[in-house]
Amino acid sequence: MTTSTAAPIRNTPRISREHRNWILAWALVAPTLILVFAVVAYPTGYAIWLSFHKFIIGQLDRPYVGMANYIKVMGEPFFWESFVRSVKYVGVAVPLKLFFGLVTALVLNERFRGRGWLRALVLVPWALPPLTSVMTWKFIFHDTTNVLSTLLIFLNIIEKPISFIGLPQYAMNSAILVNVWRGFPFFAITLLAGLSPIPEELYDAAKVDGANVIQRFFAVTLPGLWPVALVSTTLSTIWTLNEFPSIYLLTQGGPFKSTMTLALSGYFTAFVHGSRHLSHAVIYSLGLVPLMIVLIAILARAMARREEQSLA
Amino acid sequence: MFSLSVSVKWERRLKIILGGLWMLFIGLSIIFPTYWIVLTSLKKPTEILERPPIYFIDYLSFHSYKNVWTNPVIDFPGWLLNSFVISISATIVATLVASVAALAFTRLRFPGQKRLGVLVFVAYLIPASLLFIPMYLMLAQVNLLESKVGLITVYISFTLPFIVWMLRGYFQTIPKDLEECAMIDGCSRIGAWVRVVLPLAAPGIAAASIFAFTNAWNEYLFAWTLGGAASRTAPVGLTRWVFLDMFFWGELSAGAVFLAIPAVLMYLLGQRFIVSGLTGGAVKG
Repeated sequence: MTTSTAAPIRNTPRISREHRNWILAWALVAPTLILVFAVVAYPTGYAIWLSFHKFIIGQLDRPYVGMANYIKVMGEPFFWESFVRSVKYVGVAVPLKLFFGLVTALVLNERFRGRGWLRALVLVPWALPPLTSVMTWKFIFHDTTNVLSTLLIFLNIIEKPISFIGLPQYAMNSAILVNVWRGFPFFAITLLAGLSPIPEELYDAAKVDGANVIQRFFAVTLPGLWPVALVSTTLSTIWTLNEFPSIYLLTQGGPFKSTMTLALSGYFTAFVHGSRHLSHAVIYSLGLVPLMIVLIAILARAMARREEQSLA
Repeated sequence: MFSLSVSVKWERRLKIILGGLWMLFIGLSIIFPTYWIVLTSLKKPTEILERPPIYFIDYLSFHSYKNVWTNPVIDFPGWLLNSFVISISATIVATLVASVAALAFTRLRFPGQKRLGVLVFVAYLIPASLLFIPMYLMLAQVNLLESKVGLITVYISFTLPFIVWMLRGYFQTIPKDLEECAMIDGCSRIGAWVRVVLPLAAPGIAAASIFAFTNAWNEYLFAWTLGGAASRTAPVGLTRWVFLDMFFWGELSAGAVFLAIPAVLMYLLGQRFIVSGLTGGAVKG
């Protein structure tokens, strides 16, 4: 700028350094923004649009019908039965995953030989493709061979073989077991990562003050672990609410709809049941949206607080 | 339960015993199903449905593996290839686009930055069970239903937000001093990014892509509802070994084991990076 020769006259307005940065930043995020809009935001909006129109595959006329679809679908007991099953599935599976994950993380946080191997082993159920793990469990539960029943009879836990996925009174619990098996490693790994930054001195100080194991857990471990536990639990709740393959491959929603959650009801209404009424089908997925919004808000707040703390 | 005067020594012993029992229980409950599917895949066809079930075998049969690979109708190798092509394409596109966005998120300040970050995170949380019906109609409108390109596009809906979110966290850990030095030495800003930031971020980028790839490789709902003959992935294809109520457990197990190997290897490879990425700012260090 401090040139001795005369500077050329600018006839375009000068763009400040700050504005150049803005333009560069937006140019860099634009591809992501466009793709996210096309494959996430637009379809989400489309799902909401569908719920207010009458849309049947093969029919070209798609009139606006207001709340009629909601009234129709939510007026049927099937919707609320599915809703209750979804809530039960999540309400039992997520606390169990948290419990198993937490205890496993606490044990794996201790120093002992073979810890690395155990950590790797714990990751396996989470890494397996759902097809692999769910089909394995299906075989183990199945009453043509009674793999699990025979084992439990041998261990004197039960007396007669149980049809774990053939009878409605057992199927939901079996589906929950599969979900817990697949999902607790996520908690174990994230909580383990949350435990490691808790300084050893805090435990020593508590010991000097005479606190026993349980007191130390509540005074030192839990407060340090709380933020990670909150994020992991919320994420897992969202995933579990919308779980499809680990129920579908295990029981296809049966027997007698005993494992038919909202996620499966939407699929069956859209692709299997005769009418193929897509506007009705989306309402099953949208039925979870209010709950999801609450969860996402909790998550966003927790994340924002952490980020402010880490910047400070 | 515990008196305050419980001695440190006893507390330690109790901890070892309870911890050991717990890990034994967890270990066995992970190993048994895994063992069972590998065992089934290596049994002779006559042993598979035996009652009571056979828990140990002394002879390995590769009959099921041979069947699953060579069946002319149920084209497992072809579907593995489909799985690979679709997952790798969705991962590469997402990685390229996401790396550039993550640079802007962590290296520049611009209006709307925070909101965009939240938007990407919310996008990551929108579930497949909500998207598959509108996606079905959208793909039908552009004639991409049952095509590989269609499925790749749909898979970007979860690979892209995931990678952006992971990389945002990872890029933040790379100190800004280094690129400022490079800029003082005469590098342009973009030059400093290319020469300094991206090489340092390579392990993070690799880990994020590995996980995105594995998620795509394992995916079921989209592949099942939006795929077709030309885009049938291996998880969906394997269910062809189920005919109504007849389960070909040997072939299913052999295919399922084969499908699982890359997924498990990749998770183990990238596990160090996943944790900080997944929980965002919640886990430090």
